[in-house]
Amino acid sequence: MISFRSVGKTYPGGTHAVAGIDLDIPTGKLTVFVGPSGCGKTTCLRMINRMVEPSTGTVAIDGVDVHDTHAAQLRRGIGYVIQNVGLFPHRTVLDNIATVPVLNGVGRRRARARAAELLERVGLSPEVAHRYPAQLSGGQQQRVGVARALAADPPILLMDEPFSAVDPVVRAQLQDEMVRLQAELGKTVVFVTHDIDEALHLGDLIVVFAPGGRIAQVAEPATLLAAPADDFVADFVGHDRGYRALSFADAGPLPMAQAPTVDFESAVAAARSDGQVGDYDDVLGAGRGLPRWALLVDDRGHPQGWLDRAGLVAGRPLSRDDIRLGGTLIRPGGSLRSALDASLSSPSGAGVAVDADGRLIGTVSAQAVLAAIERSRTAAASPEAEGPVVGFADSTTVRALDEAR
Amino acid sequence: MKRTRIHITTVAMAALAGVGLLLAGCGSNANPLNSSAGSSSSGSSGAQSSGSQSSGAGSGGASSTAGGSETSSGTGSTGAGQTSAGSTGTGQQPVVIGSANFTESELIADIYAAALKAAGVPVTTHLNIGAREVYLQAMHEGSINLLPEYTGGLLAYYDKTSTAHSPTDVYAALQKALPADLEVLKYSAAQDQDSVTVTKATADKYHLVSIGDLAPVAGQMTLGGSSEWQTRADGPIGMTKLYGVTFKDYKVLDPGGPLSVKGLQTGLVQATDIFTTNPAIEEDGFVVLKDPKNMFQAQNVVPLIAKSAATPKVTSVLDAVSAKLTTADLTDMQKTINDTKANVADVAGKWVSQNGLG
Amino acid sequence: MIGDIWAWLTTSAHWTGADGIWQRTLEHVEYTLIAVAVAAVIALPIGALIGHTGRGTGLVAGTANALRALPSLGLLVMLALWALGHLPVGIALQTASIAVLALLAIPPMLTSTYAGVAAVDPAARDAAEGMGMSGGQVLLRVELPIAVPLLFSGLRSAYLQAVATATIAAFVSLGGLGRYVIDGLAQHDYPKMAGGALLVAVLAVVGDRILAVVGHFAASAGLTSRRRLWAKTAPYRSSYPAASLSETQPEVVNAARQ
Repeated sequence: MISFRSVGKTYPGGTHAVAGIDLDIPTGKLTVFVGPSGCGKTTCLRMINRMVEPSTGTVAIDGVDVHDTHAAQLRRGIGYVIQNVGLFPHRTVLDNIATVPVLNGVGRRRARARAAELLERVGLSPEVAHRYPAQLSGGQQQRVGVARALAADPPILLMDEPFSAVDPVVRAQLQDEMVRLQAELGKTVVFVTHDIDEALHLGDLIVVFAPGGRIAQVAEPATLLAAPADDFVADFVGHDRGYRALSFADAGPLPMAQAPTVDFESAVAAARSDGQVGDYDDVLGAGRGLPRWALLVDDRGHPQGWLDRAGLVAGRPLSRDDIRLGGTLIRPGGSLRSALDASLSSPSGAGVAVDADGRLIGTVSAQAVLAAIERSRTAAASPEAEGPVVGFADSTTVRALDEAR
Repeated sequence: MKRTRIHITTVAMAALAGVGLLLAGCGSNANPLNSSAGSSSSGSSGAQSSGSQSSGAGSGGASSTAGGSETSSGTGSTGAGQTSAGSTGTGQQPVVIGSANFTESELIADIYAAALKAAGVPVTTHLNIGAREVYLQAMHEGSINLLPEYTGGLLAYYDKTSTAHSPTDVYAALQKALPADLEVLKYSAAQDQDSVTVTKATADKYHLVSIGDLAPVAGQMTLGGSSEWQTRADGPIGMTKLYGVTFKDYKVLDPGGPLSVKGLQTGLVQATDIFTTNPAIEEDGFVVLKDPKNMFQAQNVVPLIAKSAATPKVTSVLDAVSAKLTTADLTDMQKTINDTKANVADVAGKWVSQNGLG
Repeated sequence: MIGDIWAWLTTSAHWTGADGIWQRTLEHVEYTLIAVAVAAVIALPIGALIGHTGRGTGLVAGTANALRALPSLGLLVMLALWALGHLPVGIALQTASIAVLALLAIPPMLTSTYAGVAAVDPAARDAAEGMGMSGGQVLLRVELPIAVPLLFSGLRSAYLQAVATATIAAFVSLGGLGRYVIDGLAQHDYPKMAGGALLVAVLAVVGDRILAVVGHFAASAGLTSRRRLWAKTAPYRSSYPAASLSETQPEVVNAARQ
């Protein structure tokens, strides 16, 4: 447990960065410090490894004041990941990761062997081991940064806005990795972010910082959304917190419809058919009483996008406008929020559900999701009925075909 | 590859430029290490520097291109002014006095100016012109018509082959060698010569009086002097030939400058070439070794004048100056200038009035 | 003229003996290297410390500029006269000359060391400290290795400055290639003078190239252009979830048109 007792930080000139904070950070959990910039969350984080010394009060790890441990010694026992990664450009990936073990006197060969293991753990391929940081993408660099922090197997991991410098797609990946990694490692993680969504996604416990360096609320994510302590928290969490709260509600069983599907080659062939449409009626069904939207699937059963029959004319080449890929997928184990999002973002109005291997299971309408939401509100206490549980853990963005252009 | 080649060129140019700057610096007036002489190739040193403030007449090649700045001195007050001084308005052509770019030359030019002015001759000064090549060119072109010169140095400029050594021989040879439009007036007893000089301690230890006395001991000694003196006939070569004196080693120092003086004091060299009007000789009690075989050419101070400007009045005034001027006077005045940072023209004016010429 | 210089350079008698080109070159290199080494001993720690602490940067700029503006020849004479009076005669002039050269070599090394260390990504420095490196370890293991390319560029500037200026040692009776330049000038032996200057230029180029190559290999491959070769053999490709779709789709569309 990391405990803050009456911790304050005043900079020369009288700025109060942190004002009298009391806080207990549980061992083995991922605690997120969240808040607008300039309200002391990074300062508090850096007090844990003495990168910042408090002006008043004490910070203790398992009851030992950090001030009683030599700064360098203390830091080698605490993993540290920062926003701009701070990899050493002159060292290979492997040597970057091996930094702390080498500082601790572990032989270089052993440290490198351990580093190679960590590489895999953070989802990097072994071939990057001997590259230099400048040869890596932003996401890869940050993975190396995490591996470097974990190299000496510290019980505590400090992460200061680690994912805010990478693009949203990679950020989502890294966040998922973080969830997975934390499930495996069970470290005491302190994670700073200004992104409330990231906080809600990752945190076991969320500490909301308010301007003036005070703590506005300490709560689990669901509680934070359901019962903000004050106007500041409510405002910071955002206006659509009701919708966000669905993230923490299990999707449960959803009524599944079977969408008309068309395989890819048929669609291409139909478009080429030059008026001889007999063989392709099931594709070119628009105006013949078939629904406008058909789901394109490849030969492995993976959904590829929605085919708009309204635009399909025999003899006219298949155009990008005929295939819409927008929309998220409903994956197994997901939340109500993701299910609702999938149906709302689908061009056909029906969310596409896939199994763990990405194969099509069926489609879910927004109405069906809303009904499920209603049920979860009224019967929060009752046990869930069995049945195919469809949902998704994370919103994998399927980029629209238009974007690819 | 192309980039590399460009880079190499750049570096080479930079290095050459650096060397070039050094050469230019060598010819500049501000440089106390400035070498003297530099008349033409073989001649003896004529334009000599003395004292730490003085500077050489620039050295040959570099200064003939770089040293032509025609700064006028004569900072205004007494003595040599920029303007013509004679109020009588005799209709006489004004005398334009030039000088080389070192203190002693400037000083003598100011003395000429002060004396002429006192006698009512209109005078203009155009001092500190540069090396011999440069100011003699100005003389031929007529932009100046009077200069203080040294007999040996000037002779060497016009006649490289002359072997004259004594004051009278050198003067006679010089009169023959001069171009038709120029003449030298009577020479002064004042001389500023190269010399072989040793410390008092060295002289006492080895009983040294003349250069020849060095013969038995020179083999353990290092000789100092300028680059040009090293190869000149009146340098180490002449000493070997005339006196049988050969030194162990030769160190290139500033000609008669502060480094030579310091080098002699500290034993870096045991004998060195110092100009005879250098105040350090007296101050440090150095011993100038006698030159009975006249290895060094006579270097008497002499007015070089355009025939057109040599009126009887001008001639008589300058002859009077030459008659009064002594080597000791030159040494003393330069010491005054060095020590008190006095204005050269003021010192010259004072000498003129003290000697009843003003 | 060029023919004269060539003739001077190719006369074998000019290459040997105490006044020979080999000897003079050796002396020239000796003055230069000692001066650069002395300058490095002074400039590296000071530059590194200032870059590391961020304190005294104004001092660096001021001092470096003042040193650059030094009239080297005047300074040399002043120092030579002082040294002759205060140091053993045998080493006085060498000391004075090397001191002047070192003073000239200090500014480029000081500023580049300072700049190299100061330019290290603050995040790398923060990470190094946060992982438990002491101030000295941060400097030696992170900041200086990263600054190596700039250190070498400073070293090269210093070398060039020193090698070109080492000619002035000849003004105070020492050797080196300046001997040819100064004696050639005084004795009106222009091929000798130009030949000497040419040799200085050659020495400058050769030394600079050697330092460039050494510097290239002294710096980590992560900092130099060598990483480009690496990148070619092991290219990184970003992979978005839909990357395969977006890449294949246009082909399908084209195929559909045919």
